[in-house]
Amino acid sequence: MRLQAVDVHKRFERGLVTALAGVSLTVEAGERVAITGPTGCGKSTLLALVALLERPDRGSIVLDGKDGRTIASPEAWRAETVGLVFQFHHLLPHLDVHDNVALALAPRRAGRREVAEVVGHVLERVGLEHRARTRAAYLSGGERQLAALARALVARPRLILADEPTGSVDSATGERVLELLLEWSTEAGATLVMVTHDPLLTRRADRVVHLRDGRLVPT
Amino acid sequence: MLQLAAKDLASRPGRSLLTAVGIGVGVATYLMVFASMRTYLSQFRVLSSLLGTSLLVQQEGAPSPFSSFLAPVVVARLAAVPRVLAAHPAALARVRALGASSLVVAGFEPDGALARRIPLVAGRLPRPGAGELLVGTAAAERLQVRPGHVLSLRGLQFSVVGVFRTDLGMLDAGGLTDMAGAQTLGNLREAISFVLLEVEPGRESEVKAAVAERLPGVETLDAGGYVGTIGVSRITNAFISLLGVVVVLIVTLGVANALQAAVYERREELALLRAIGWSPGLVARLILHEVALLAAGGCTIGLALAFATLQVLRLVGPQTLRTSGILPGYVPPPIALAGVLVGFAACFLGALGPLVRALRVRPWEGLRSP
Repeated sequence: MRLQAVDVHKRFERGLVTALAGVSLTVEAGERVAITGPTGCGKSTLLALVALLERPDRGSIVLDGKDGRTIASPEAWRAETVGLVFQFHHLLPHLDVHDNVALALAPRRAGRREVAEVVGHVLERVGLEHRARTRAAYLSGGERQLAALARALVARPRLILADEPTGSVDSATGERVLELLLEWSTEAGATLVMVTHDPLLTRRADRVVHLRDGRLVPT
Repeated sequence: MLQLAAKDLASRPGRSLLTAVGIGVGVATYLMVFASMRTYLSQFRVLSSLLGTSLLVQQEGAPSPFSSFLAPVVVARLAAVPRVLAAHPAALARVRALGASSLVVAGFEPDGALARRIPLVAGRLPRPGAGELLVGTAAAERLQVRPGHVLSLRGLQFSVVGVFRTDLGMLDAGGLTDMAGAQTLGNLREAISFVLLEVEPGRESEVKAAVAERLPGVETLDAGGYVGTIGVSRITNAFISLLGVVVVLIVTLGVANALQAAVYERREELALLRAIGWSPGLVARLILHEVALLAAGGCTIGLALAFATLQVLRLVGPQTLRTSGILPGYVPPPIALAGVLVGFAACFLGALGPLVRALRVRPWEGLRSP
């Protein structure tokens, strides 16, 4: 998926906090881009706008040539197209790993057998098949992030948006997460956009862009 | 979805259980009140069929049989109405007996046709003017009397000459004597409470019209539907309906409160679901499934609680309640069904506000903090 941010502006706190002040960025289909910058520079906001979780105050997000504002159901679009990975896993602690991952397939109304098969496959891929029936509350920090990664990838997204995917795990798990992200993006031809402070991720990206004070700055 | 909803509820066991119990108490109250009301009213209906009459005449606008007063001359005038086969006067009195709770004593003509329909289980019918009394089986048990005993009512001595059993709690907890005896006990002087009419089959409307024309100040009611039209039942029905509304309101507010708190606590979860592609409709389905499970659990608790409470009250409740005929042995199926429907309706009504709030959770805001 090719995505473009065209002169995007976004403010929060009733306009008092400027998160983005005219960002324009193009990411080609299949490209792997890392966005870096100091805390509070607008990296995560840019990711949220690309995922259509928020709307820009000004400017537009264009996805495969289509303006994001014209997408009638951003939820349906995300369910079909986007895999989201957060710094904090946001797993539901009362559900087991299998059910947490299966949540991403619920909008597709897939049958139980199909869901079990697809979820089983992705859990095997991230190395959590033996923890499928373990509640998320009982997983280690690394396992939780791997489970969250499985949830992001289970619907075979064409666009993977990862917000500090290695920010809350040890370096070994961080490497594992990165490898999985790169493998999946390569296999599926998916575009990968990562917000990160981690040099490991920036080294492996096709391109690195820097944000500061809501603007892109030359590297 | 149902499985997911069940797991969500199970993740908050204390709150879910308390909410279901709250719904259950509301539903149980609703069931007991309406089942008791129905049982109470059904006695009047059975009474009229027991007496074999089709019309009842009372003072116009009387809110209760105890506050209806008719002049004795009305009986003869009613008997003269075309298509009327017989007119049976009756007088009602409520007295205290042996320090126990009130005893309803009905006066009738011991030599009339109605007397023959009284199902005696011991003794005989009272003789007119002899100060004799029949008691129902429940009253006999409560007052520890049987034929041959003497009962003092308002300073008057009545000889118990028989025991009857109708299987209607309210009747069997009372007594029957002659007209004069009941009129004295009820301070009615010469007045009577109401008149039961036997009319030619299919001529009820004709007789009603004729009575309305000839006897102003009285109203003629279908004996079968008597209780549904008398003031006391209107007032009781209104009160019970109000109570039902209050119960529904309490359940609704309880559910709203519990769900509102749950939605607030689950902002992150709801935000995540929206972020990974759940539509507002799908989120609503999840919450409504949870509400349905809570309602089902609450209604089950309510049915069990109502049944258990009725059984306990029938065994060890206040004597007045046990002998009044108000307490049913079980919740009739139509009332149970209505209670369950009301329980579900209250739950879904209570869920509306929290549901709207849940759908307003913005995914990005809900996910920004861990």
